[in-house]
Amino acid sequence: MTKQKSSARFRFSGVMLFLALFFFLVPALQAGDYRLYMLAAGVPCAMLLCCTILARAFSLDRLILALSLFFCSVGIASLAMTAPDTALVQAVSCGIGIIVLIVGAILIRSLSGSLLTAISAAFLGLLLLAAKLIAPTFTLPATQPALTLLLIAFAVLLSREGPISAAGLGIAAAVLLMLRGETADALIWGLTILLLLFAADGRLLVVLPSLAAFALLFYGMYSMQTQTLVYPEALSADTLKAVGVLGADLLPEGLAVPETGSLFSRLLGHYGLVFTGLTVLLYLPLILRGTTVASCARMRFHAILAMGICLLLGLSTLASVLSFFGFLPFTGLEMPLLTTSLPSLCAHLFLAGILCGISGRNDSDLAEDAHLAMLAK
Amino acid sequence: MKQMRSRFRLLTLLIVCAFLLTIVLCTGHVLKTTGISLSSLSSISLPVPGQSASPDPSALPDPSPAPESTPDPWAGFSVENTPPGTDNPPEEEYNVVGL
Repeated sequence: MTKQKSSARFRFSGVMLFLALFFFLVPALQAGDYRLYMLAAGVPCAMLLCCTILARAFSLDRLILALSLFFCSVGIASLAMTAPDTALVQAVSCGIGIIVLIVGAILIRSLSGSLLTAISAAFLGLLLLAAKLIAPTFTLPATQPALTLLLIAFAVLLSREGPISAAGLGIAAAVLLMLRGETADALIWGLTILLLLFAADGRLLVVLPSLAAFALLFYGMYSMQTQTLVYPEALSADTLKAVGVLGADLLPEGLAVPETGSLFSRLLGHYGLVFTGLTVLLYLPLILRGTTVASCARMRFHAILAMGICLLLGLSTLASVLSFFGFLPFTGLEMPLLTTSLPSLCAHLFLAGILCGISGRNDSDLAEDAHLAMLAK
Repeated sequence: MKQMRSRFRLLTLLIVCAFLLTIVLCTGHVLKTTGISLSSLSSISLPVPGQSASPDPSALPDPSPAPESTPDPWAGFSVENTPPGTDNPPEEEYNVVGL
């Protein structure tokens, strides 16, 4: 069984590396740009290094790690064709993100679900959200890092203190997000904590009042913000035909490409509908692996945190895709791991690192159980 | 903890269904926007074994009809004869825009 596992992982890593090489080598040969050659050499090497040496050294989950690195490389590749300088900057950002991923994996092993952790994380998270309201000149995109900290605090409170304090923290965060005008993030956060409350507690006495509170909150804010909620302009038939199945070297007209933020538009324009659809589908194994890690966790805190990460990443992905095609009245939503914003990228990779750390902890618990069983014989 | 794990499985199922639904919705939206229908995709005919791949030309109806055999729907209409305000095509029920 160990040989089969390692050969399957080897094949999977090989496929990911081949794809990463293909993304950068072909444009490098076409354009002859030295920056693209640097990316063609650097990105697959970094992936190989992380998936082999670092994964073994820090006991990281290889599937989660490989998928996270693949999304990072796809983000760099979507910039490489038309903006090689930005692609280099994105590669450096991903390098910083990998360090944050390792920090997250190490931290979760030593982090206990104590009240001090909850209070510190909650305080920092709420402060980051309230910073823009207190000081309007604070323009750093701190939403994703704040949600990361708040999720950790929520998981500790839910596992240790009970649902009431956790729900209170969740509602406070949702209010702050709405006051900042980030309705989409507030909706995703609200759904995440409602589903976590249902999963961890399950009592109707807890879930129904929380649902009612969130419904009232969202209804109140929706009625105040109806004018600002505008459905994004849907992609026209000409744009979709120009994008085609395999994409184009130059981005077609009608495809709104922001200078910063989500790379989804660039990915669609350069690599076409089929590849983009397959990339979105690759989020599913990442989330399924996360839910498996959550189900196998021994500590309640780790289980709730892992499940919360999966819900947050999954709902963000779905909201981003649906809003891009005009099904939701939100604009500028970012896909997890496919963003040029350094704080958001680091926050998502930190969450992936936490998942890797919990998976490593599960494996070490299993190994300890096997050792104890052997000693008992 | 056991109950929590069973609820986790339920949430996993919900996420998977949501993903698949999203993919179906977006695929349908793309097909609808580009004007590609599923019936046009399924109308590709494959050659049946035992029959020739190309049909017998003599069996096919003549694609170019005789000029006098087909009634011209526009026969009664001309720029001079059309009264003002009635220059609509005969199949008004398909004229969605109403011009």
